[in-house]
Amino acid sequence: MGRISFGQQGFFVIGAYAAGMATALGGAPLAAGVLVGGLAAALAGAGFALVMGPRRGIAFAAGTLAFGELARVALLAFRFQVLVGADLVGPAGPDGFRGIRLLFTSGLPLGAYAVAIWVALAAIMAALTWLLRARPGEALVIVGQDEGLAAAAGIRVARVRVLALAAAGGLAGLGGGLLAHYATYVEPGHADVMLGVHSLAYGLIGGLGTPIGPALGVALDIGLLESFRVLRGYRMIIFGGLVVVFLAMRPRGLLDEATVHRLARRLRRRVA
Amino acid sequence: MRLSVEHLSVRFGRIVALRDVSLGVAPGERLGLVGPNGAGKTTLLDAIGGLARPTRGEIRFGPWRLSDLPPDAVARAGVGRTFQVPRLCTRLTVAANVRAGRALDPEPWLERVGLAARRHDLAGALTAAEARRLELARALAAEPRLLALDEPFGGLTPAETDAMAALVARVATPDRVTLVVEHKLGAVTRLCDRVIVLSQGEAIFDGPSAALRGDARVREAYLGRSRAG
Repeated sequence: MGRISFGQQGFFVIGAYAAGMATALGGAPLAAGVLVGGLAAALAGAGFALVMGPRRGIAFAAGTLAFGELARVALLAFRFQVLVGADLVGPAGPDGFRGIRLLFTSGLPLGAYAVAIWVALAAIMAALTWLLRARPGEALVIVGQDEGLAAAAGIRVARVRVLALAAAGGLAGLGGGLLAHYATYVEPGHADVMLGVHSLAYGLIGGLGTPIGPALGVALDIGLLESFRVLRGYRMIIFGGLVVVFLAMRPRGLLDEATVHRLARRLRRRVA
Repeated sequence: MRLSVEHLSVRFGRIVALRDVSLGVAPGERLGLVGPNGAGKTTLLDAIGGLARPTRGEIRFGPWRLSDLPPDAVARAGVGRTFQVPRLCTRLTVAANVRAGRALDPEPWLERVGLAARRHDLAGALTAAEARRLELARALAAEPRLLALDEPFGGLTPAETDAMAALVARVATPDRVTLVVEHKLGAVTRLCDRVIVLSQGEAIFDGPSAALRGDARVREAYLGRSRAG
């Protein structure tokens, strides 16, 4: 919605901690626990929108960065350990939150977990693709480009902002819950600012015109970064340079709105 | 519904953009707001649209006090507007710009302004004249009871100006208050029955278009500085 977040890692760890607490401390089933993580992060996103939503540009971006750091530092101080069986389980400040074991004690094969993640990803992409073609998606795009115009068309701008940030937080929180259960632990260090920078880069590299764009961005970002390992110490320099050159040439990413529109039109003509 | 602006003043810091402006417009009336650049015309539209807060006075439209409402609520109260520099969502198609996230069918409005053939194009690809027409379609699609057009002829060729004037005349229906902000006198006096002239934030003339050119104050404030269009 026309704003840039450097704080997705904050929503990610909030989701991870909430999901871990739901299953390891609350005894929730795995799927419910992951959903609790998403919900907690969505609430955090909505709360953030109420405070920072009206701000744009540098103020908003700096606010997200501060939020991410706030989440990390708050979790460094957060202790809530409970005796589960013979073990103390729960967030333990800088030592993180260990013993989120439900995935491994439930007997669910890891392959099935991976399939479930891919299915969830596909469902979210399908939902976002539908949303962007439907009326609420139009409102979202208009608010993103010009809030004054959106208001003049009667769009409830503040509500759109809250929903958009809740969705963005919730998606990051789902990711956090999924990772926490796979890794069996999560720690404040997971809210490293570089995670937020990369998640921003996914969208900026892959393109902001379609939900496929950020997924493509993930493949390019991780693919390039891994294939540059042979370059050793120069790896990050070359990768960073490539990102800069790329953004200079395509400021809204590979699959930007104009490209997506052109591709869709060509496809429609071929089908017709 | 009737629009009434009472003792409206708008200040931006130390600059007084509007000073004690009062006016009333009945449904079916076409009111032209003219004046040199910086006279306060757009500020008046912004105040009606909720984008500029009055420092004094109030704006009523039927049962609503527009001066207390945020811009999106003003729009839902039946006020549709266009902007001095057309504001379109360039990342969406022409049809999506008319719909603008609302539950309505854009087709009749695209037909009305003659943009039906471009419905699938991105709005960013339109010419200046087409952009003005698209803005008008977006404003009309909500079936506003008050239509406020900010320089609808800006950047148009004489032929496009005539076509736009004919279009505005068609959509200025008897149940609707129509406001046209313009600095070219010619187009406005042809289109509007009544004209208000603003100069340095004050209304210096309010009367029938025919009486405009004979008014000494208007000549001094307006015609003295820029040629009548």
